[in-house]
Formats: sequence, structure tokens, C-alpha cells
Amino acid sequence: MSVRLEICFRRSGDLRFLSHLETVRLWHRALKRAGLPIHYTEGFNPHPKVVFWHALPLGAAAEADRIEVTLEREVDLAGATRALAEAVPRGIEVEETLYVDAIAPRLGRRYPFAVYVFSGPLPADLPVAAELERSLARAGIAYESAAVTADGAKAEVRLLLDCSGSAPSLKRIAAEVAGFLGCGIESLFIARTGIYPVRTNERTAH
Amino acid sequence: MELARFLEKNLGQVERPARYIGGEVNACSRDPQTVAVRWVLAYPDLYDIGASNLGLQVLYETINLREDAMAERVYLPWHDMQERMRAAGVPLFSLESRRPVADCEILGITLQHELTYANVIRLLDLAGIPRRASDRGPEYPLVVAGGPGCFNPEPLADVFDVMVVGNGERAAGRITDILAEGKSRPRADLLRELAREPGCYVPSLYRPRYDAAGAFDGMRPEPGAPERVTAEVLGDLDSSPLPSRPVMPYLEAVHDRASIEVFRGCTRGCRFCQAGFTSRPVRERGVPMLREWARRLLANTGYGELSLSSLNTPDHSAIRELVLALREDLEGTHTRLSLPSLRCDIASVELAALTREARRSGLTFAPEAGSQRMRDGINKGVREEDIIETLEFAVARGWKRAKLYFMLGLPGERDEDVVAIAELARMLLARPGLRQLQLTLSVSCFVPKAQTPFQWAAQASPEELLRRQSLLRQALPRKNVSFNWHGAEASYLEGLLARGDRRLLPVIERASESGCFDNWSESFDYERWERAWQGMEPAPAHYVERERDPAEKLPWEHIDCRVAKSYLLQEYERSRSGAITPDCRADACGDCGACPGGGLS
Repeated sequence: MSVRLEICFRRSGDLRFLSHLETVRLWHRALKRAGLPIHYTEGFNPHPKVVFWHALPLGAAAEADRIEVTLEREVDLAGATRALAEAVPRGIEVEETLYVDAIAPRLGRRYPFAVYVFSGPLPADLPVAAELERSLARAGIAYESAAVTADGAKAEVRLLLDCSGSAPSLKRIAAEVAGFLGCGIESLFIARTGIYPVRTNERTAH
Repeated sequence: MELARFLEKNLGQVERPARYIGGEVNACSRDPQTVAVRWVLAYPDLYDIGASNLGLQVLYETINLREDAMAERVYLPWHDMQERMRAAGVPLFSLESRRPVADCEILGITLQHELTYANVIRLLDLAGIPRRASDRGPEYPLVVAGGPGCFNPEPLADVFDVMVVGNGERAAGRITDILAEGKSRPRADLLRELAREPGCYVPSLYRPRYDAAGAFDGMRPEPGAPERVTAEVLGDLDSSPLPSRPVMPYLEAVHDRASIEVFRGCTRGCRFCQAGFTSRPVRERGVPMLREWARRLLANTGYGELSLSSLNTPDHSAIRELVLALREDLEGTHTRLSLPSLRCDIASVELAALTREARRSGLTFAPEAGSQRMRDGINKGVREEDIIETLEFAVARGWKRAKLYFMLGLPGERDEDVVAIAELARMLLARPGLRQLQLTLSVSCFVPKAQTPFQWAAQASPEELLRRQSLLRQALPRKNVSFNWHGAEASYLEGLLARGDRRLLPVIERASESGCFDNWSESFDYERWERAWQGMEPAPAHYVERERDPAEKLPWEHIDCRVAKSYLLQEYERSRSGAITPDCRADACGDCGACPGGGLS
């Protein structure tokens, strides 16, 4: 009986610069090296059944990401976590593995919300968050909530996005955030700090 | 600019940053401070190509097993990254420790193809290492070459301190030992000692002579340097290390699979093939060892494909047993087995049918020439009926696509031999048994190589090759066939570098100053090379288009690949009369000189 395994991990450092396709390859190989009984798709070109959340742009970090893989049978979860932690390259940290019920909705539906953080150089005169909200609205970018904070020489814009419909258009959002902070888009650092099952997220509130 | 800041700013801006970040699974992560000798192994081409090179993988793993030494990697950054590094003043750095390449003890560069020679110069420039050995003081790394380019080392001889001829495993170990023992010794002393090691050619100890007319007139070794440098051949492969932790590229490299080398050498005797004459005799690995190697390799990599590599895999004496055993071992592991090289015979197709790869990809065969006369001249040993029989057998077993490789410009080629390629394709497509077949013809240009029977042969000019290409193009059938062509100009350049001497280095240097990546069609610019050799004496035609006299001295004759010159000459003469020389494993010994009893260890 096949089972669905959810893997929680962080991706940081230079592995931020892998493309989505390279990330997919990396996981296929790591799952195989970890010796897990991966379930392969049927057909002409069988491949491991792995589900990814929406792709990150090149250079963006993932602080709490998840993938789902189908296994042919149950395994010891602690053992699987250990094997995966050893199989992934430096820059990925496997935090935990858990089973997903067979009738649960797919990964993207289980975690429809995500927080993205854009950090850039702190402008001399940081505009109020309402201005960012206005420019996002003008650009037709939907978001759940937004927060702007200053920390040392850095400004941080946190956005909670509903990604259940389609992938967020981070390029457009980054352009708006860069305009708001008055910096170039290439000096923004983007991180997805978490994906969530519900809209509530304490960290965006303050 | 500091490297970490440079990377932070630029990795997001270049094409495929995965080429530069390092830290891949199975990459070495040792601290260079803890070892006496730090190697940087360089493939002078893009990461995507170089990462698949098996020779460097062997050396990387072998060196990293040592206590006192470590090996790191570097590849030539693509144009965009080179520009950014130059603009920021960032020197070439190793992928592992991210230290400047110029700070290592030994820079090992593999010479796999002549069209990467300008890249070698570019790589040294980016590293901030003087191009010529004579301009480098002891503060610079020892720059060592390996790979098939060393069978005619001369065009780049002035660049390297040492060039390793033949199998490099043992020589790399000895070079490491000698450097670990006495890093601070004067360079001249080190080089004299290295020149006594088997397979180690130290170019600075040899002076070329040229006659009044400008022809090469022999090599004069300095006192103490051996008259000839004999290629190293590992005799017993079963006791040589099996690299089973290859670095796993993040991106899809050219060979995206695990590979085990089932044997070295080939005695089929195709007269154009340099590897066939420089890697004799055949040395096989046994089935138990190969199974164990495959098991380890797959566990450490997670690859979904295992390839059985060699010059001619179906020739392994226990190939059927091996394929059946591996098929059993791979059962249920979702790993495909593939055979990269097939002979044009039924046994090869039967073998391919045994692998899981079967039928998903097309079959590839290399008849090399269209007419029987030409195929006999190159000793290909493939008859027209073999091609028909093999393809019909394959189609009957479900294959739908086949690719055939040919060469234009083989010695003695006449127009009717060129047209014969088209006639062969037409005849094949007209066979009732081959109606379903999708045929691809891939046509490249013949380049004579050093250490082969054709080392004396003239190579056709680009104009002449273009004429033959268009002759063939006109004769080709219009339906059910697709064609690939290889550039006549790139082949001419390859031919110049393949049989050149030390006087070519200034040309390579000039060409490297205005470009690199000559084996990438989007980067290759023939005019750049024409400018680089303008006014050169003797002109390129002297090296390329001239039939060389057997009495003439050849620039690579001090490099001894064990096969006797008299044998090569005899083979060249036999090619003119179309005489076939049988494989010595199936027939009588041809007395080529490669296994004189001694020498092999």
C-alpha cells in the first residue's frame, strides 16, 4: 500500500541559485541515495512521484519548504529523516518527515498561503506601509496582508499571499517592492519564510 | 573585490549559476591547510561538459584518498561569468575551497580535444598564471597536462611543466609524492626528477630543431632527459581503484548517468582512430568486479542510468554474462542499463535488446564510409550486408530510429565514395524490411591524428570539404532521412592543432585573446583563427594539407605509444591497397609492438 510522505526542509546558501528543474533533479537523486522505497509512476518513462510547492525565483531562499513524495510502503520516520539529511547536499537541511493521509488534498491545497520576505537597503526616508499597499493595489497584485519593518541598515517587506489559485508573480511584486524602497530589483533578497494551511499568521501582524 | 561578495552579487545575474557554486554531493570538502599538496583539476571547457569526464573523476577520487594531498575542480566559466570576473578583478577560483587556482601546488589540465586549446590559455589568464612554463617562478603552481592531447603534446608544450602520456593514475601519484617530499626544492631540480618518471614528459628539457626550409627536424633532449617518453599503460585494471563517488552536478551534464569502464584499449584497428592505437593492449575488468563497482556507484549517486563504457563495449569477452548479471542486479531499482557504443552487427543489437534501454532511444552505428572501398581502406571491417542485416534485425525487434555516422575526406576518397553515402541511405530506405525506419545520417570531416596510420595523410582543405558536402547533399534522398553536418572549418583547425609543433603556440595565444569555446558552434569563429595565423611561417597548409613523407621527422616522435612506427606505416600502406588487418584477439598477432612482454605492469 503506497503512502504519502511530506518532507520539511530549509534551502539556503548558494543552493538558492539552483533553478527549479535543478532542484527537482537534486531531490530525485537524493531520494534514491537515501534508499527510500520510492513509488515510481507507471508508463514509458517512469519517474519518482514527487510534488513540489510553487517554484522560487533564482536566488530566493526557502526557510520552511515542503515536498511530498509517494513511497511504496511505510518506513520508520526518524530513520527516513536521518537518511534524507545525509543524502542532501550542503545548503539543504531536512527538518522532519511526516505522513499525509491518503485522502488529504494535494500539497498546494494543504498549504495555500505563503509568507515572502523582501529585504533591501533601508532608504533614508522609509515610506509608510500604506504606500506599498496602494502601489500593490494599483499594480493589481492581490495579497492578504503586508508589513514593513526596519532593522539596522535594512528594510524588510513581508507579504502574506494566497497562492491557492496560481503561483505568485514574484517578479512583479519585487518590482513594486523595489520601487517602494527606492532600490534596484537586483539588490532585493527574497526568502519564502513559510507555507501555511490557514490565513492567520502572527508574524505578519506586527 | 572579495570573492564572497562577488558571488553574492553576480550568481543571480549569470546564466546557470549552478556551474559555479560547488559543494555538490560527493565533492571534497577538506581544508587545504591540512594537506601538503593541493591539486586543482581543470577541464578547459564549460562545467556542463567537463563534469562528465571519467578520467578526471578517477584522478579526483584517487588524490582525495590521500592523507597528504587533496584535489579540487575548476572549469572554464562561460563568457558572461568571465566578463564579470574580469571586470571585478576576481581571479579563477576552485569550486571546493573557493581559493584562487594560482595558489595551488599543482594545476592539472586535461587535453581532451584540440578545440579546447585556446580555452587552456584563457583559463591560465583568468587564473593569473603566466602562460609559459619558462615565465613561471616557484610561486606558481606546477602546471601539468594529461589526456589524449599529450599524444602530440607539442602545440601546448611550452605551456606545461609536465605532460603525462597515457594512463595518468600512477603518474599523478608520483608527481604528488615528489612534490609532497620537496615543495621548496628548485623547480629545475623537480622537473629533472619528474622527467625520469614513466609517462612524464617535461617539455622544457627538449629543444625542437627546424631545418633551413622551416621543416621540423627532430627533438634534442637535454642531458639526463630520456630520448623518448613511453606512454603509461596500467596492466591490471582489476587492481586499480574504482572511483565510486563521482561528484553529482546540480545541472544536467552531458552524461547524466553512472558509468563503469568495462575495459581499456581496442584492437579492432580502425586506422583513423587515435584511441585504438594509443591504448593497446585490451585490458578487461572481470564481471564480479564490475558488478560490485556498479552497486557502489549507484548507491552513492542515485543515478537512474548505468552506462557500460569503453571504446567498444560489445567486445568485452564476457559481455553477455555481464549484461545479464547487471540486469538482474538492477531489477526493481528503476535504473536503466545502456550501451553507448555498438558495432554494426546482430550480436550488438541482441545485446542492446537485453538492456532496459531497449528501443526507447534509437540505435547508433558508425559505418564511417559509404563505399566498401573506403571502409576497407580505414579497416572498419563492416560490409554492406552487415549494415542491412543489422538494421533489418533491429527494425524487426521494434526499433524505429537509427543513426549512422560517416566521415568525409578520408584518405584516398573520390567523388564516387562521397556519393556512395547517399546511395547507401537510398538503398537502405528502399528495403521492404526498413520502411518503418527513421534514419539520421551524421556526417563529420576526417581529421588525421598523430600516432595513427593516417598521421602522414593529407587533410582536405575546408573549400574541398565544402565541395564534397554539397556533392553529398545533392545526392541525398529527400524523404525519411535527416542529416547532421559538422563544420569543415572547425575540422581544419582541429587538424592543424592535432599535428602541429611548438610554433603554433603564438597562434593559439592570439586566438585565445579574442575568443574561446571553439567547440561551441555559437562561439566558434573561423575568421578569428585566420587572423591569428596570418603571416605564420610555415603556413597552416604545411601542417594540414600536405602528405608527409615517411622519412620526414614528426614533431611527436619522441612520444612513444608502444605501437611501432613501422607498424603504423605498414597499416598506412595497407590502407591504400584496401587490405583488411584482422583483430589480433580473433586472429594472429599483427606484431604492432604494444605487448612486447615487458613494459606492462
